Amino acid sequence: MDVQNLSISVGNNPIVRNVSFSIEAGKTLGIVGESGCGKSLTSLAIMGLLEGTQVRLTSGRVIFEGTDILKVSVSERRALLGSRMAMIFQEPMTSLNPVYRIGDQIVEMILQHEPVGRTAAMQRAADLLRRVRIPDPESRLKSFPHQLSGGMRQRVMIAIALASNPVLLIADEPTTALDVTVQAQILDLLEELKTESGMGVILISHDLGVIAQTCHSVAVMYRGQIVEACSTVELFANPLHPYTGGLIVSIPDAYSNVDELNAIPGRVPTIDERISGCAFHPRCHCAKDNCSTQAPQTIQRADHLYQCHYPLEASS
Amino acid sequence: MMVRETPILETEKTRFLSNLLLPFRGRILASIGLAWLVLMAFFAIFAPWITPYDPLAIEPVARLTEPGATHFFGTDHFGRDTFSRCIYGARMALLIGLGTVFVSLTVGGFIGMVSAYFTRIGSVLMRVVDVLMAFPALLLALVLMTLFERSVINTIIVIGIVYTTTTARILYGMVLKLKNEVFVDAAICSGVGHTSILLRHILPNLISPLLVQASFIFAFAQLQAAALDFLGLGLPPEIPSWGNMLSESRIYVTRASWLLIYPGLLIILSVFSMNLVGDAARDSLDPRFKDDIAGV
Amino acid sequence: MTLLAVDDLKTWFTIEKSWKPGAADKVLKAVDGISFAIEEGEVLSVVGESGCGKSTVGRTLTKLEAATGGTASLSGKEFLSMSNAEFRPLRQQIQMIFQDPFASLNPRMTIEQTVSEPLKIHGLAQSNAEIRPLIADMLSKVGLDPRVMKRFPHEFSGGQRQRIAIARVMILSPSLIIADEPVSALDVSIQAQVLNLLKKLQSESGVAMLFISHDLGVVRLISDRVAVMYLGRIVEIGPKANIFNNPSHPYTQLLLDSIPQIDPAKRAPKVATLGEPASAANPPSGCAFHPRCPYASKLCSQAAPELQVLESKHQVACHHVGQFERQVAA
Repeated sequence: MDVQNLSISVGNNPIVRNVSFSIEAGKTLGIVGESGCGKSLTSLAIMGLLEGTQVRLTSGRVIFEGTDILKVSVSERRALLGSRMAMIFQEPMTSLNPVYRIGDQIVEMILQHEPVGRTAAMQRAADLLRRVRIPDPESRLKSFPHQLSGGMRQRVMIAIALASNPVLLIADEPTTALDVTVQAQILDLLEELKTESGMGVILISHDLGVIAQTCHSVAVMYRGQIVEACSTVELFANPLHPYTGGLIVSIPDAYSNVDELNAIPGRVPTIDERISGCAFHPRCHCAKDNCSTQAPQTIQRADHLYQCHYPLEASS
Repeated sequence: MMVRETPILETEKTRFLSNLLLPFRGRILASIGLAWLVLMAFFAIFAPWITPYDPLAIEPVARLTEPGATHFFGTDHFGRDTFSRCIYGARMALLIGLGTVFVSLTVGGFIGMVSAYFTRIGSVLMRVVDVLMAFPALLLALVLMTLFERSVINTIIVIGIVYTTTTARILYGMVLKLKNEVFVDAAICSGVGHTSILLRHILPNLISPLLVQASFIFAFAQLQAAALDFLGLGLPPEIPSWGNMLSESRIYVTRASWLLIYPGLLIILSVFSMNLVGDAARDSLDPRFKDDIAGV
Repeated sequence: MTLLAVDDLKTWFTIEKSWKPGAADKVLKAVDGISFAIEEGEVLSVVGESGCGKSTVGRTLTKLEAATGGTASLSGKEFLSMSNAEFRPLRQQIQMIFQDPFASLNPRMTIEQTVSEPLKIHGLAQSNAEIRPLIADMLSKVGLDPRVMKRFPHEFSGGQRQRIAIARVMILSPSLIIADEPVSALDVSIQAQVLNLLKKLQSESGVAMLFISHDLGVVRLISDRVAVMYLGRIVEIGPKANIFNNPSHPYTQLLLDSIPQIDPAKRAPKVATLGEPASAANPPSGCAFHPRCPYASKLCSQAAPELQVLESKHQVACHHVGQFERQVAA
């Protein structure tokens, strides 16, 4: 899948500008950023979940297995997305219908994709639950969503996502609502499933630790733009954009003693704020005069993309 | 805009006004409804200067005149000018509406808030409210009306009591929710006392829903008052109200249908308008849309 | 000197009233017998996962929830048994910061009203002429422009609102602040600012703090001592250095190993995590952690371990403490 120059507006207000990234099978791409940076909106746009809202795609192409999915009709796109792509969300409780049993909800998904009978589908549902490591899947099929813990619900959501054998899974903050010990389990599970099935994964998160631990490459978003993108190892070893650098040092570390954090000053801009030049310049310690007037272009240094006039030196 | 905040009281007056009108943006029907109500209020207030005749003046010669140049809406069986009576009727409608809103919001508001905040008192008070709510509104009003003399103030009190129960129920629910808000916990931790929490922290957050509730009560009070008048239990018969006009002239329905058409239309139009306004206001309260976009 | 002493604190919630007379109601033991003390000027963190009762500890100590049993005293004065009216003057001493800055400020009150309210209630200042300079001073201390006083909360971002909430608390010069996840609703870059601010204000004013958090990184930054809670009980408590360098309860180790790490060198080897936290409404027998514990024995499912002293001030509640080796990252 290849996303090229995707732009999204709400009304006349550009929220996401010229976002490009690509994702290969069997790899995990992380999109990291703070609230309002447009990371969730981007994924919703790719999934075509923004129809009928005030949100509009203003430009760009999303090429998936050779076709531009933004060009095909809504019904074709639904068919394509339903069978080849799947998405899981932050809060699994709101994505599950509280009045139906888990089993029925998974079976419904299976029946949409495969011409099988109910009994066979139920059998497949149990297999899916086993794949997401839910103990005693046959009896779990009879549970209602509220009878499961948060981690279990997220596993069920993953099982539903897997029902269509997707080649691309978009996970939007899949572990944010979960406890840290459960988060570790879910991240491990996603990793194993990816290796098993060879699907590509887009992991959207605000947590650099989660990204660092699970992704091959990372795109850092700020105020609707990708300000830096490269491999995970490269990003954390040599962040070039001052925002990325600032984020990395502002995380309190449980493994070392620190007295004060190097916080990025200022506040996270809201989506309807307009900032001239580089969107990060009011908070940037490297900003010079032209940062406030001239928006930086995307610069490529080896496999490392960044948008900054005065990048951090590779050594620091 | 998608990302606007729900209307919040501002210090600046202009902001306040534009926020008040915000629910009507892009809603043609509700705007027409609002315009109609404003017009009605205007007629009601300036009735003595607008009406061509005294609404009580009897003119036997001109009895049951058809609508025309001299009498826009015709005259009734005493020769009283229907147009003038209709306009004075608007005055009554406004008075009954506002009076009912005042009674039900203050009494019902007090009962609801106290019951929700002090749950022990509430468990008794709300049961009384439940029992009263078990009666159909009109029946309750009828029973109460038979106990009182027919007068404007008594009609207001009776209809007010009927809607006190609904208001108390609604406020009870809202306060139950609000008192678990974190900012109330924060106020308790600051040492704020009960009265202050209710009046300074909870009540101001209820003003917009109360306004919406008021608009619906206003509309229902019209219907209720008209029904009481029609049954001969509402306002004293000499007072020109739309309900009384319907009641008095119902036997002339075949000979002078205008006597029923005009006040009837007025009742329908004002209730409908008030409901439209209330709907618009209620929709602007609902924060669903805002919540959707906040997750980005 | 000991500022706050909590002894055998219990907060139980009735979740299902029994219909049969005489039969026991179904209770959720959110906090089930915990004891700890906070010295003056000390920061004690309580860490644990959701549902472990850490927030209930804070809410009970501010009397937002009623304690079922146990005592708590501030500077030697027991306050859990006080009536709300008796306790009100003491609230000046015990202040609370809440997690969600979008919910903890009254949307209909200006910043000035919000911050001045506690001052007026506790009679620290009455006239506006007295109050304004105090508020202006406090707002600049928390890093806000004093001119924002007349604004309403919705005009501020999450980080700014949390600063306002901190101002409301600090203006009373309390001796103890209970901070319930004060930074977990904030963006990473903002979280760092607010943590720095809290730390600075704490060390300047010498206020003691009970810091409730699920984030061990945050806890390591801010605290002097750490208590780890699991299903309503403290499983390990001790000075920060001991907890982080020598975690002795299997649960503490699991928590530390589960944190996603940026630096691959610090990453713990994959831990075989067993299951998810049980519900406090239906806790396992014996040691509540035993179904998830890799070292659990028969004893663990039968008897609940008591806290035992490991070193000075470092206590652990585990039957097998010291009998297993923690796998440390290479």
